[in-house]
Amino acid sequence: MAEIKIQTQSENNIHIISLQGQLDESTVNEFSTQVYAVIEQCTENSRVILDLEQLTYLNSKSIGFIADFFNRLQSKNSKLVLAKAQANVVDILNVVGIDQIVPMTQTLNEAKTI
Amino acid sequence: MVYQIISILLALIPAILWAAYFMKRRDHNFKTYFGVFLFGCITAIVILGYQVAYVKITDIEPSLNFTRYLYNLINPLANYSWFAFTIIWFASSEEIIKFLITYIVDKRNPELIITMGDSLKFGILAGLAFAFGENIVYYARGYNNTSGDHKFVFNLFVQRSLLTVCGHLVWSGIIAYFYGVSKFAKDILSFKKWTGHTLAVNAYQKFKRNRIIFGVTLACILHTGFNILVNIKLDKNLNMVLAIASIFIGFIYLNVLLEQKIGNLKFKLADRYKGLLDQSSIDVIYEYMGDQFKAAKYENVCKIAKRLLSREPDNNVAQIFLAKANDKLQK
Repeated sequence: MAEIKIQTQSENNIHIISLQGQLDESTVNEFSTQVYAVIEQCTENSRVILDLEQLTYLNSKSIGFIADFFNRLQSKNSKLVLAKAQANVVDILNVVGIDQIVPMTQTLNEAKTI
Repeated sequence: MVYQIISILLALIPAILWAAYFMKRRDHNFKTYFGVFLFGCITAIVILGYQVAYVKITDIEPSLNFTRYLYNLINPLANYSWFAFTIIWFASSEEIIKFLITYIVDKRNPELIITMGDSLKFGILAGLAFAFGENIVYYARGYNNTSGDHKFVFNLFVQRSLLTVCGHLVWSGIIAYFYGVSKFAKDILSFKKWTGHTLAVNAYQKFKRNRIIFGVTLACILHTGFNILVNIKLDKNLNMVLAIASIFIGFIYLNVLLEQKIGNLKFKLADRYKGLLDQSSIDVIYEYMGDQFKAAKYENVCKIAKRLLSREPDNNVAQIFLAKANDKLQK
């Protein structure tokens, strides 16, 4: 069974959610619950950054959630950015086309300013 | 001797025309094509010889007539059904032999059949060769039985060229199509798995076997039906009309199968394919495509499959996803 650690830092309408571990059937619901809670708190023109540096695996359900996070934030005139994803995660997100709607950056600084 | 030569020349006409149609390009496989054709001809002559020998031997020694024995187990009454039972046996053995030709060619040279089209080509070639061999025997026999009646043999030539040769092509084509499907079982089952079908532990072997059995059985049924129809007498030649219709229906069915995009795919042999992305990443992508497919988001499936194919052109599962999604979009 996989494990996931989720840490959230918020400052000036920028919310950084750091993920450590794997997103599979056993952890994806915990992930989505926490991210939706952050989105709920977002005001207009906020930014949610998913720090994926220590995420080693994500399943298809989590990809679906990412797309939904994007839509919900967009309805609040806010942004979702994916930062520092590992190569295998980048490959997956690139092929399924998430990178065409959600910006992906290699650093957190880039993610804060894009 | 002259009649034998004329028989061979008559048999060559539809064989050359159909071979030229199907083997449009001359390529390095020409020797194999010729070998398959020769093999098909020889098996036709062998199996016809067997059929003639079977009838003659069982006339002399009825205890050797195992079709009658098998038939009596099923139904000791209704004598004419023995005739039908024998036709079933003869037609089925011809189709099984033609299947074996494709199977043997594939086992010896797996690189020759990498597309559904290749499978069809070899299957049809086997059917064509079989019909060619059969025609030589029938025309020579026709001359022999009628002491050189050209008109009789010409009528036989027209009937066999238009009907029987086409029949053999259609029946062999059906076997070849399902053989092609069975050959790419691993990838087809992968698609089924990712689109939510539950697969048994031995699903792969079962799928391969069942596809082959289905194709061969269907061809046997169609061939048997045709043989029965040409051998019985109905008012106003209705039997011949039905015989022609059966070939036409088989041809339409084959075209419907091939019109599905999966019929046009080019596959690399699955066990020789090495992807560029790691398997766990690929599985996530398949899983996502499967979810999108189940949600009827076929355009999205096509986009993802194309992106995957741009990175892994030989990915059979991606090709199947793309083909199936395109089929759905076209409906």
